[in-house]
Amino acid sequence: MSPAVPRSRLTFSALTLALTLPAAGALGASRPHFGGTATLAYAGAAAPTDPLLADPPAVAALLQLTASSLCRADAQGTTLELARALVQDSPTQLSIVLAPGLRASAGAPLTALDVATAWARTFTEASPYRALFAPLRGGERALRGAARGRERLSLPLAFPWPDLARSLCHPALAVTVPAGFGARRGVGPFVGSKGALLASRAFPAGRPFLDRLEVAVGDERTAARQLGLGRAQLSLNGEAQVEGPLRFATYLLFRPGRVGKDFRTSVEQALDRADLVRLFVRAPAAPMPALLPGAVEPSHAPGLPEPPEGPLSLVYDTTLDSQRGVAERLALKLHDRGYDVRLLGVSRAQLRERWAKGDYDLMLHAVLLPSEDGPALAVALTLAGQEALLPRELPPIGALPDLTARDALALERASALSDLGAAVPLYVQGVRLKLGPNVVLPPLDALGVPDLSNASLALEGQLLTGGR
Amino acid sequence: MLARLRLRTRLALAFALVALAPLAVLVPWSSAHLRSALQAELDARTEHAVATTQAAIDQRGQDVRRAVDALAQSAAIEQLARDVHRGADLATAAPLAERLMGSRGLTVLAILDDSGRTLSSGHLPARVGDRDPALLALAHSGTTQARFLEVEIQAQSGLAQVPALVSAAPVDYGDLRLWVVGGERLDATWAQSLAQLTGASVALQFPDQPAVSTSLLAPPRVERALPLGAGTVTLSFSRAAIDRAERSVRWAFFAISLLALAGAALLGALIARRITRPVEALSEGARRVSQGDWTEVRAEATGEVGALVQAFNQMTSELSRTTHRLVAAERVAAWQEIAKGLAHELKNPLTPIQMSLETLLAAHGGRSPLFEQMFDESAAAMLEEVERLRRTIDAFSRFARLPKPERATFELADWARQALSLYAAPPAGISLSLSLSPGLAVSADRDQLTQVLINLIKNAEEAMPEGGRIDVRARRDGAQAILEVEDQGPGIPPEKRARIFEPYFTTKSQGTGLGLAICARIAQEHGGALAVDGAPGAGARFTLTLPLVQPAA
Repeated sequence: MSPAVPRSRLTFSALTLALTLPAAGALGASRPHFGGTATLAYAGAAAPTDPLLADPPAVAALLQLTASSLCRADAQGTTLELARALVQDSPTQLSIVLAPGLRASAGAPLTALDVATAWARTFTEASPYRALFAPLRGGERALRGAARGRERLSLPLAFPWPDLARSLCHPALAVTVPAGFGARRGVGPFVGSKGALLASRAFPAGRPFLDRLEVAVGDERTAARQLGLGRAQLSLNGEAQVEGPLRFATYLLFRPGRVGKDFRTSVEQALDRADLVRLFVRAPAAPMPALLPGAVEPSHAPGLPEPPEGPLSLVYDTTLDSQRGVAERLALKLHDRGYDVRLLGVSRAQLRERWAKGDYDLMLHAVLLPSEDGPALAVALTLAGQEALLPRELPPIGALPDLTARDALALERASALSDLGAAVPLYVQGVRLKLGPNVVLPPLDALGVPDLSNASLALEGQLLTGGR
Repeated sequence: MLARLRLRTRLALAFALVALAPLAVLVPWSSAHLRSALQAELDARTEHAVATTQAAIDQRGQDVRRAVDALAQSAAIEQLARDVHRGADLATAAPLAERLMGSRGLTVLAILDDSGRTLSSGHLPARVGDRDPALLALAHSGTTQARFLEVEIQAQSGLAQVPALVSAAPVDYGDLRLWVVGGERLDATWAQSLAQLTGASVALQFPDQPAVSTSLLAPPRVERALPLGAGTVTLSFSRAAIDRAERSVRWAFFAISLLALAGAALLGALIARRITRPVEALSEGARRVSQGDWTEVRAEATGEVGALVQAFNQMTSELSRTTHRLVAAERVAAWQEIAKGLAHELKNPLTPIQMSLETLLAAHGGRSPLFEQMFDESAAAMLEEVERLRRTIDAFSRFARLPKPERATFELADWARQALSLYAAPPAGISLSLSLSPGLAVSADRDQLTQVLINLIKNAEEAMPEGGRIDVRARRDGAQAILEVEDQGPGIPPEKRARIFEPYFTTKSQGTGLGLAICARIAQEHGGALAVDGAPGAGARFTLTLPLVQPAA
């Protein structure tokens, strides 16, 4: 039976061939091919099924195996997955055509209304990713009314926002529907659960190279051992080998009324981001002195900090391995400056809930920034409690037709606005991924998330029999 | 109060007191001895625990020292030293201490360079990259012994200083010197291990630190403190068990005392009963004798008491015989007296009658012309004497046939006032003065008592032909009611007072001599008595004594 192979996959196969051919001699002519079973050793807890909470790159990569977004943004452009077309009808109108015959894992058809409803959860669940829809004219209401028939959506914009189409590729906007018992199901390149994923022939972007992908969940040492012994072909969230964009940004949020005067000054004086990243954050990571990675560090206004009399609670995400160490380092440094900081570890769902309610003194909050800096600025400002600035800050960025110019302006504004909100940018991280010797994987996407569905096994002595 | 107790009760109490006396001495002495013994045991236990604690601390210090020395010589630390020497990134060393710490049973471990910069910290990973002057000072102190120090840790409640037993060892690699500083936190777990070792409650107290204790013993307790650097470890031992033991013993003594008391009292009662039964029988016998019952006392007694019973019975027997003889003699004497009086009373009218009859016979024989006249006079005189004889016989008959009193309970004052109101107005010159106290209830025959009162009043009137005052008084005297009738007449000479209540004894020319005898007998029939006194020439005072009715309990 001949699998459906879209053009994008063919492009990738050719690219992969081009990339791997120089190394083929050294590797003994290893090359990708369809078929085979690979094991992914995942160092961490079972991934959540809610895309809004699956935003760490490693978790997003796992979720996207079974729940894709409309598209995937990479350095070369946008690869359509659940969408057949993303059409910019006008500067203020984006039309979306879904791939035909989409069915969720449970078998029910996936309609345009399901897509709109899934995205509207960014508002109902008070997710910072609602900022991705900030340019919409009418906000949540417009989103809920965006469906036009079974396969079409029409998004009206309040101002030109050329980056909206690529924003929709964000893993947090993966399309899922409720599947009972609080779980959600979507459409992805693989189907199945409980660690054994089978290639889906019905995936609109074409079936993955692998017939079967087994996900072995364990700790980091187990993942490393499995990879070393050849029992696993990929290791995710363990050792870092593959480089890519660092878009998973961590901020220290604070409630101005509770942390005393000039708290930001205290943090900036106490904190050496380079030391913090070097000693307490798992690589790949980089310091982030401004609201967005790549923005110039602003000059901080002087101040005379006055610590509050009572203790401060610092809420952090227990599911992110670096956050406890970072939280302890922050507590230590702030303690040296007279602050009494107590740590409170919570799950990511509880963290988001506390953030939405403003129930914290201090909070370490990480988000996966969109690949374009304009939408990323919207997310960062929303996280920093400056959502009200979006109608003023976004239109000038969206008005620029050139992506590079838009990113430059967004970074400039990020630098300028860094000291305004109640967020101290700390660092940005990427995914930790290591491949076995016979695994081929294309570069990480524009958000630094690996597309594991494009992983393939390269067999020695066997010619590439075709691509998708 | 003691005097009111019966002999048997007194004897029982005496036995109980005799039993209590040794207990009163023994119990306090035993309690004090027990307390002293238990305290000595607690002191020994405390000393042992203190010694054990000190030994455990010393041992732990040696363990810490050995563990730190072993770590300093380990391949991992050597590898770290090599990395640092060649300028490797600190980040690679950061997790090392946390990994090594657990493998050596340490809860504090930091690796410092010679400037005090923390390369790796197991107890406070957040300290990596910072200088730690306290640990560096320990490292540079040159001591080979583990020392007590306060180290920083990240607790739920924020950064906290906690006491620790810490040792430092140098690691030299070329010109590079690192320090391995490790130890054991003196926390609740450590305190718990000491508590298990010593059986005491352990509390750690360091300056400006909240105390760490295993469990708080309720007072009373005994505490011993050992210095731990700037702090102290306090061992607490509960005195509750000792106090409980003392209380138990005291209660046991108390119970034994009670049992002994009860037993002694019971035994005393039994013995006393055995002793006092003949005495009580003698007492009852004496009471019966006083009431004229000469029944022999029957009691089982031996020894002196038995002899006493026998003597009493002999005495009562003798007394009974003597009394019967006396009574018989008195009866004879009384009858002789009565017969004498009766004969006298009967003889007095007979003489005029005889003389009148002889006069009439002489006049009739002599055909005296005055016979008719003499007959009338003699007949009249004889009738008068016969009438006198009849009155004498009636009075005697009444005295002999005095009925049994029909008793009723009444108020003496009310009765006297009522009785005297029925009495006709006193003769001229006589006045009646009443002084009657209320609340004197008697059980008596109202008519007979009225007869007594009227008789006494009439006697008083007759004693004062010239007039005077009669005082009638009623009062209480103990359990008896006293009714007094006192006149202002010449009184009764003392030599006649003894006989004044005898039948046919009278000081008056017209009296039958039975009035006061009847009164005295009525008083006697009511369980009372009638007596007379008064100073000669200053009036007579008759006192009627009657038993009062006791109110129902």
